[in-house]
Amino acid sequence: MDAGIKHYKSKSILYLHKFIFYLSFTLISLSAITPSAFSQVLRGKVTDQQTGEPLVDATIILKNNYKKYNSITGLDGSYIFKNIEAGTYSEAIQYVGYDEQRMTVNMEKDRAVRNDIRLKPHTWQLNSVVVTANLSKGSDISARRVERISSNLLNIISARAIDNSPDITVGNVLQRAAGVSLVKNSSGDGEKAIIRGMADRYNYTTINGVKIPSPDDKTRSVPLDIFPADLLQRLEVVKSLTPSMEGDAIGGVTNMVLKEAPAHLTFTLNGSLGYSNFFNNHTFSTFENSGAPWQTPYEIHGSGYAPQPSDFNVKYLKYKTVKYPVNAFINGGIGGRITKNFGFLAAVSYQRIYKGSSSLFYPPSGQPQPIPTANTPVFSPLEYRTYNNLQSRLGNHLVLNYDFNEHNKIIFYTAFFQLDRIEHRNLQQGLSQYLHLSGQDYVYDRSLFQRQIIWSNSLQGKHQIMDKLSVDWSLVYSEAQSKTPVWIDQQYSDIVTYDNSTHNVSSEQKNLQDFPFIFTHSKEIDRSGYLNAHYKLTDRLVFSTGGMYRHKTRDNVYESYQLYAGNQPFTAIQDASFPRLTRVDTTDGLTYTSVENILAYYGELKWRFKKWEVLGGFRVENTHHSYVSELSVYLPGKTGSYNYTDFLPSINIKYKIGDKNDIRASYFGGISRPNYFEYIPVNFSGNYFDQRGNPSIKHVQSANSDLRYEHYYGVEDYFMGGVFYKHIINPIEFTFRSQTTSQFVLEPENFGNATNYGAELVFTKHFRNFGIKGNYSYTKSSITTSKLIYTKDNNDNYVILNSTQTRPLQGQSDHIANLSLLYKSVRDGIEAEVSWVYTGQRIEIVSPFKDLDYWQKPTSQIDFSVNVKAGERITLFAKVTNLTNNPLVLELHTTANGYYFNNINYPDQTDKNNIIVRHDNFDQTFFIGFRFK
Amino acid sequence: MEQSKKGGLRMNLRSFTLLLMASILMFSCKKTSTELQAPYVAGGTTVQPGNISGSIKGTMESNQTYNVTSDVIINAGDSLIIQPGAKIVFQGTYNFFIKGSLFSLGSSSLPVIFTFNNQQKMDNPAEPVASDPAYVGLWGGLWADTSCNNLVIKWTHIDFAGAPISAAQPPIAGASTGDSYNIFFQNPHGNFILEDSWLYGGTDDAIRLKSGHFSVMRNTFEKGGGTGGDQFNVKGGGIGDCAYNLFIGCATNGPKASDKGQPGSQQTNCNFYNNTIVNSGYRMVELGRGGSINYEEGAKGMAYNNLVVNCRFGLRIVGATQSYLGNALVVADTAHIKYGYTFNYSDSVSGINQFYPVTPDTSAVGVGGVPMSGLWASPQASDIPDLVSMMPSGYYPGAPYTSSAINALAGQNNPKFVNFPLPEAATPGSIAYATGYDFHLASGSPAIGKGFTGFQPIASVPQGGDYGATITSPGADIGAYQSNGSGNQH
Repeated sequence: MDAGIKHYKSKSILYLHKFIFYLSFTLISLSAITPSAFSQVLRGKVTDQQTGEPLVDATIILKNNYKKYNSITGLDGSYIFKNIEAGTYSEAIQYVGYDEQRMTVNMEKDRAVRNDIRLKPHTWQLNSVVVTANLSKGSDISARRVERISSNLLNIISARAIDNSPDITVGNVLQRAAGVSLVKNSSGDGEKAIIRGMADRYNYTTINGVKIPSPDDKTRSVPLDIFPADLLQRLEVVKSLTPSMEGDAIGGVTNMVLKEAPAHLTFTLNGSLGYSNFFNNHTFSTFENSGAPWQTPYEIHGSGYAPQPSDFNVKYLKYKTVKYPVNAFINGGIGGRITKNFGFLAAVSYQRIYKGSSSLFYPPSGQPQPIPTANTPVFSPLEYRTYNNLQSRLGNHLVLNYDFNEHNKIIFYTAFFQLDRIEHRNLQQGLSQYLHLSGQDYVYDRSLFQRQIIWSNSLQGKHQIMDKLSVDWSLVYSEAQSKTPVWIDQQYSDIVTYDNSTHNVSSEQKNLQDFPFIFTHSKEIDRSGYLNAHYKLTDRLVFSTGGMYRHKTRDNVYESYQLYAGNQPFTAIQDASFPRLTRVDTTDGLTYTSVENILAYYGELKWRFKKWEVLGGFRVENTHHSYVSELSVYLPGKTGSYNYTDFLPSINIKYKIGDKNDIRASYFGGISRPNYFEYIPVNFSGNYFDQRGNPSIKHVQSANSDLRYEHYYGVEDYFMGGVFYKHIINPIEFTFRSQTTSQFVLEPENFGNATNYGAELVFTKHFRNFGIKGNYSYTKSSITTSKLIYTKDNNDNYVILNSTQTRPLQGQSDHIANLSLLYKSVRDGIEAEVSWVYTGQRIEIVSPFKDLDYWQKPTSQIDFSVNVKAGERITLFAKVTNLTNNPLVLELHTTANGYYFNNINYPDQTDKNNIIVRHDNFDQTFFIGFRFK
Repeated sequence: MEQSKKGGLRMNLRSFTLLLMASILMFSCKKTSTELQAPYVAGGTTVQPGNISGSIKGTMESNQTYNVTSDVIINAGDSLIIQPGAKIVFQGTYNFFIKGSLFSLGSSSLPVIFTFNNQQKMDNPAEPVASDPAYVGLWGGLWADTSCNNLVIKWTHIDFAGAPISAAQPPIAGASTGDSYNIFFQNPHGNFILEDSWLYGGTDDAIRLKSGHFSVMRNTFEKGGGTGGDQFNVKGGGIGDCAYNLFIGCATNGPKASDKGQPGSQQTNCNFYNNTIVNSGYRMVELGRGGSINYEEGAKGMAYNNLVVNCRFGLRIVGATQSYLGNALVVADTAHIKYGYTFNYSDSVSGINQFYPVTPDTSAVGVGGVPMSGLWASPQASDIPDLVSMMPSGYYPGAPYTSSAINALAGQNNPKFVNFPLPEAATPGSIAYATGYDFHLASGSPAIGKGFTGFQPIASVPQGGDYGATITSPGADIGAYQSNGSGNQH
């Protein structure tokens, strides 16, 4: 097995104690200085003779007849030998792909000697492309290079950075990128990306540049927690579009570049075990999901069937505890070339993660009250939720490349991702759990088993037809699915007595209420073809044109069957009796089919002239969208179809100032298509409010400008600073419409114009063994929407007045910052990283009433990871997330007293200017594992 | 190029964007088109006896039978008039969707009947709720759209309704899959008149009035709601009178008023007077909720002359927003609620102790050290029995007031119904029907002559004639049945 490039020799013996020591290492110990016995020092920097770029991990051997010292260059190409004996040495510098250099160094007593070395590449590798190939494609250096070469604006996180980071899913990795914040799911994992303050609807996700369908039953967005991070070669966040890219991104594009077939046979394996601190004081509760039905009763028996209570199995409501909820993941890959022409890579990733969280929630009552002041908030009873989540995440990925010859290549990619989520959510509504009071609780136990699948296949070809003409094409078939074979929301009321002396809660009477079995299916299929042609008009001017066609279908099913329990006294679910069903709902706003055909074509010119590089052109996208809903034929909009064409100009300009500085300016027109359900005028129940679509919704258009300055120095060191401005026409936000005079429904609507602007800074700086990486972005957006005020009129009658309120876009944070401190000692084979991510406050729930939006308080999370080289090919690692157990807190920005709090001393309510309305707790997660390369 | 680039950099980023934006707008949306399926409107066919379904209008004739074999729609602008003695028999869980107007005009001798095919009532105290067909919802209900100007129901039986809407979105606005009401009304400018009629059974609210003008008088409500639901639930924007009704065996309340969910229009204003409410509130498991009459969440109005017998709670008015043993209370517009002349009777001490519902948590203290209470109705000197002088010292609305003298009132002050033995042999709540009983006041009843007549009905709907309401003014006797023969005629 040729493992490719080995830059250094390392210790072959595992010092277990050292590993443990470094597990507990802190930043303070990083700065410890070793006392010296000799004061002779040799230092220097190793660079590429041609490019001047520092070379990382070059081996330096210093020896004479008595002594031998080894060192390896650091991240900035520098090396240092401390405490060497005085004398004359031979110094040898070796680096793969470069000629070895030898020289003699005379170390005089008490002298520090500086010896900078410029290595010459092997003559057969003069072509810089070959040098790139010798760099690991997943390295930070290669990531920086791609960023810099790219015509448009990118931020890249390399595989190497992912390995070193505390993250194991793509969702969590993404938050390290500049200007990106995450919407987290109930288990605290990042699920949706907000890019530059633009929510997930304004962004899209691709694998190797090919758009992937969504398993989500409502949106187009792809849940980013489904992807294991280990399959990535790099993660790109694209912030300005080129004409050849699909135009439906206003915030940005998340592109997952999967690992490629390597040049040599390569085998990788890594595995890990972990634990969540949440289960130190919570037991993990789950249910047996075997035998769960993949079909609904109607699919099994036909739609004329009258479902019986016996069709619904309550065994999924029998909960068991897991004593040792130990997390595990294992990733493996094999790749290489079978023949000179044929290469492959196969990779598998499997994760089995127990996640827990608890949440304290003060649900908003349907409406505030008009006294003592207008819009005084009113709350429903306190909810205490406990989530037990068992996630099994499977990722497979296969790449086959076949090179017919130098000019004709084809690649086949297939990637399969599956996320199984088994969730027991226990919700106690009432006083006993958290406030230790007697009273009436309502207990809701949810058993949920959800499977989400994304399967993407693409066949791509590249052909150099003539000297000046090349063509590439892709044929894509992708599927995304989600099913919930188990979704049961059992509920009972419970009259409880809290004993103040023993602190025991005793149940006096439980009554089982009617509860639903819900089945959801969602399936989206994409069939796409892409064709691009590139013609070299002159050496400096390339014309490209091409197009794509996509046929997308979406089928959604939502069926709910309610069992009659009739408030029967409740002891255990297996003893309950269910004489009949009270409701069968096989159709609602989430039952629909949609078809979307997109035809797009473009023309672009890429022009290089002296220090200028300009890439610009136009793209045309025609969208034809249609749906069939379950709406009554007596109401307007049972079916609908939409046809629109967008003309999207874009230009990216790059200007080089010297070798190290670039200035970029860009402009692009972007759009965002409404989510499928947003057209469907049928109600369905949402998380807090009923929702429905709006068939007159229009797609969003935007104009986006960027200006960025980049300064590169060192190997990986760089600084970028930029500003952006977005003008958004017809942004879609949810608002509350009175569907009739007395029913609020959350509806998507277009809201005139919105603006979004901000600034971003990104920097990386290395100081021999230390590095600091960070980014900061400031975003400001504003939108004005209608709001209600419930108040008294002059005649002392209660009235609801219409008003407006200007606020940021939902989900947009003003400040987002990332800061990572890195430590790397090649000699000891240690790499460590402490990462801090800060997300400023943002709106989580928009209220129909003025001043009653739910804001997420700023969050600040610290994660830690360490890698220790334990052998030539083995690295041990540890990852700790959420070190400081940072909670997620929502609040109302109002000074009015929250009603319902009056006679209850609610926890957390210490701030007079805000009312805390939600408090989630996730605790720390630990992983330790190994990596074999 | 050099020059233009420099110019571009100097240019304000915003104007740069706007300039390019203008270029987009010039070119974009060349061919935008949208097609939405128009609503299907079938002209209403003139209704004929026999099987009916789809859009109908016209007149249902006296003593004819109409079998409902699918949902029925009365188009906007159309009317359906039902003559006395017509019988509408549902063959499944179908509904009437009323976009136009419906006038069901029965008479005392020939009532109109809405019922389910071949279904018998099972009225005996031992029948479990789970097997009583009254609580199944054998057919849907009468659903009025926002365009329904008149829903007028007189001398009509509406039995066994309350099936939830299960087929997709119903063809009217304002109702969703899963809603289950026997009668639903929602036009803020429309009129809902229910007179001299009978509602039997249900699964949730027997009547949900989300907005509109109403007059609900002289009706008999039995077995309303399965395990929850009010007999007459008025939400935001309901204005009118609910009087002279007999409510028996309600899951939660008889009449209830709330201003919840009323953007822009009028405040809920309900007069509840001269009602007789018996054995109600026992099929609701929520603590502190469900009894007789309820005002909450911003509603206002007047409650006089009501006779409350063996209910879980007496007149309940929410006076402060707070927790009631973990359940939320939201304050009514107490500045504009008047009440009194309530006749309370209970077999049991526990019932007596909830004539004026008690807030269990008395720890809250309001402005100036005055105890705060979530429940606001307190004894009035006009009430029977008059507990004002028997209240313990320091009593405030919502505080417990038990004492041996008060407890001794259990089984006392029998209102003397003509035929309804008190104390009851079975537990209160088990008799949830009126058949076989007579709630007229026998001579010598302590409720006779104790009513308050010094106030006016709201009278928000048109009066007189076949299509208008017949409003009975406040009566001299407490309860629905007046000794002078007026009031409830059943």
